Amino acid sequence: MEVLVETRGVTRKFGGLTAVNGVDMRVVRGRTKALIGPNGAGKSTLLNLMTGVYRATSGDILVEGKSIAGRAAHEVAELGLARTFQNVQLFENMTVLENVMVGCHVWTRQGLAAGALRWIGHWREERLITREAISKLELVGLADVADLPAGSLPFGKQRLLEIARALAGRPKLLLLDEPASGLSTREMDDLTALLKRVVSEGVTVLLVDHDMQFVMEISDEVTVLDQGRKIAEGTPEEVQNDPRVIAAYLGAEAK
Amino acid sequence: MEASAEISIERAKPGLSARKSLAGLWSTLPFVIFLVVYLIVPRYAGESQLTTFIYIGICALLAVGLNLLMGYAGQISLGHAAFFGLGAYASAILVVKPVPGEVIPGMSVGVGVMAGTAVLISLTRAAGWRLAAALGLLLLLSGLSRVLPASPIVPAAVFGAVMAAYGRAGRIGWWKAGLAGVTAAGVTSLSQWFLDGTLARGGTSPWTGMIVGVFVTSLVAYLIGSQVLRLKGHYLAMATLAFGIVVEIVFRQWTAVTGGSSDGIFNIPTIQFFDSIPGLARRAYQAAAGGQVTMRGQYYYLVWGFVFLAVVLAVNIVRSRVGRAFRAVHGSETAAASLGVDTERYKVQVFVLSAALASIAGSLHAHNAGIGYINPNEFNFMVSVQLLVMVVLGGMASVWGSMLGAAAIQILKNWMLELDKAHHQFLGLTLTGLDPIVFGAVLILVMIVLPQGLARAIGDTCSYGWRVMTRSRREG
Repeated sequence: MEVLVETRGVTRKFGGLTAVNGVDMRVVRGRTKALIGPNGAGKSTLLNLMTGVYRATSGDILVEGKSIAGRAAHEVAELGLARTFQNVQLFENMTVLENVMVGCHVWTRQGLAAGALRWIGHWREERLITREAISKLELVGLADVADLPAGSLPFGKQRLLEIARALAGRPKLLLLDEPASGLSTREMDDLTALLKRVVSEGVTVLLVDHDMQFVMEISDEVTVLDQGRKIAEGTPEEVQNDPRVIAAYLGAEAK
Repeated sequence: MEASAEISIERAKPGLSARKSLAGLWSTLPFVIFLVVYLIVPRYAGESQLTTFIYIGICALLAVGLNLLMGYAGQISLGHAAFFGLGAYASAILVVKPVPGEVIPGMSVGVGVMAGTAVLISLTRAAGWRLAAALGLLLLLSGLSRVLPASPIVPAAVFGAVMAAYGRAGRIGWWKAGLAGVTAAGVTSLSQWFLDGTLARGGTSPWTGMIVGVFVTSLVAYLIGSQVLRLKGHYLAMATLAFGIVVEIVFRQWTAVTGGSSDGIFNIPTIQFFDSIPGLARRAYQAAAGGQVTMRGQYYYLVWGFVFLAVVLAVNIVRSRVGRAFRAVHGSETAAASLGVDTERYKVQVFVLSAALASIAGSLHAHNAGIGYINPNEFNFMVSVQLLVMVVLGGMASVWGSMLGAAAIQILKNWMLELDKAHHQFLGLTLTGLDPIVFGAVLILVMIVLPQGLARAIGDTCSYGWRVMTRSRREG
């Protein structure tokens, strides 16, 4: 049981609203974690806290034992966290391949002068980047559209491209913010297969979603949030039968 | 969109490696054409055309730099003429108008404090250092009033005072504050030594002037950029606009150093380009030009040599790791940061790079053959706007487009000049001074008709023509 990311009493307030309220959660290496809950439960906020987009009002977040307090988002990425966004955020001014190449930024080092003057280091690294990017595109099945502008892809493929881009950073933990929303049933099946493959290659996955069926199929552990608080945690079966979870999802009358 | 998808798949068929080498060949072709045209122009162009070409080249340098910032990294600058002017004045002052002795101490301290602040900002990134940056600029200006004693102890003491006032030195680490103080003191003595030497010799060589100009401009750009690039959109536009106006006022008012607005600086010597390159290269140039090359021809070669270098570097940068990071910042800062791109750092980097290119353009402008005169009007807000129009007209995120834009605007400017001279009457109005109206109209027209710019329009037309041709051949 190796803990990859741990949140300790994390709270985030926006003005008078407490979006995340004292949440303790652990993501264990190799075990796919799902973060579920009704709309406005604070799932995305918690994800943004873990990736350094927001700062916690109180509490602490540890990545492999190191606190990320005071670290900017790009520094958190350097610790081995990569993510996708709820509203897909591609670089629409770049091609599909270039998008994934940006994903390699975190483990590459060549600077401005190397690029401008094309030193040997530039070529060597560029080859590595291209190879990695193409292999990630092949993984998600987008290699044949590598030269198209990223914005021209249909929505489902944009989602896959975002995952490929995040994987290009060779992350330890991949955080997916509602990866299944807006996808057709077939695209959802493809996504499930892809995520299983990603997990089998040794990347731990944390996903936020509210599609129960999708979540139950691929996750090992589920944490349920409601109104910013953690209300249940356990295996998919345990959580599914938890009365508090049913109440949160279906409303109070389900009691 | 669908049409382009078809093309790409069609192109993908012959196999990856063949496609790659073909693409490599295609991408070097524009450079080869550029080089050939560059070399043979003086063979056919007269003196006045060469002058136009020189102006176009200077504008092209500016536009390529600004395009890296605007088109690729997506950050606007409405004060780019300021960097252009800083380069021009730094060159001109160091070469012909040795700094008056009484402002040297203040000036040195100012540069020293700016360098120290830059070190501090790069080490700590704490937002509170905005104040220190402001302080540095204030001190540079206070060189005017000659209140500062001539000693490197001054900047070190300034840093001590700022640290103490903020009580921050302990928190950010003493060595960082110390390094900043030492840098400030060191750069102060260095610039004092350099300026004293310049004064004693009565001026430096134009090349030294250019290098010092790039150094000072980059320093200023770093200090300004590291603070204002946190802003976005309109706010960034306003901040850079204000910066440009402030710098122009300094050019106007700091009479002791810049000559003010009525006189400016004149008798600036041109750069003897052929004297500073090996004989073999000189003969190659002469062969290309078909005989003796005039002073202006030499200057043309120099300016466009720089343009060629800038274009090569820009094209290389755009297709490299850092260039992709620039474009990613443009696409989505949040996503870029989530992939480990230090957005703030790259924004400042591209800002400084673009300012450095503008500074080189400024030096070349100051030493222009047969002109040798600069005044603050050449670096005012209108110039920043014209640069913007060049970039937009040529095409955002297109290095070659910037050259087209620069050429188009420069030719338009020449026409306007002719029109001014002719004093045409229209409905009882004399048609003079129409520049702002015309440039405004061009900008509006471009936004409506060619939002992607000239380069894209030409490219699309060519590829459309190519498709029509190949289709008719296939059918026939």
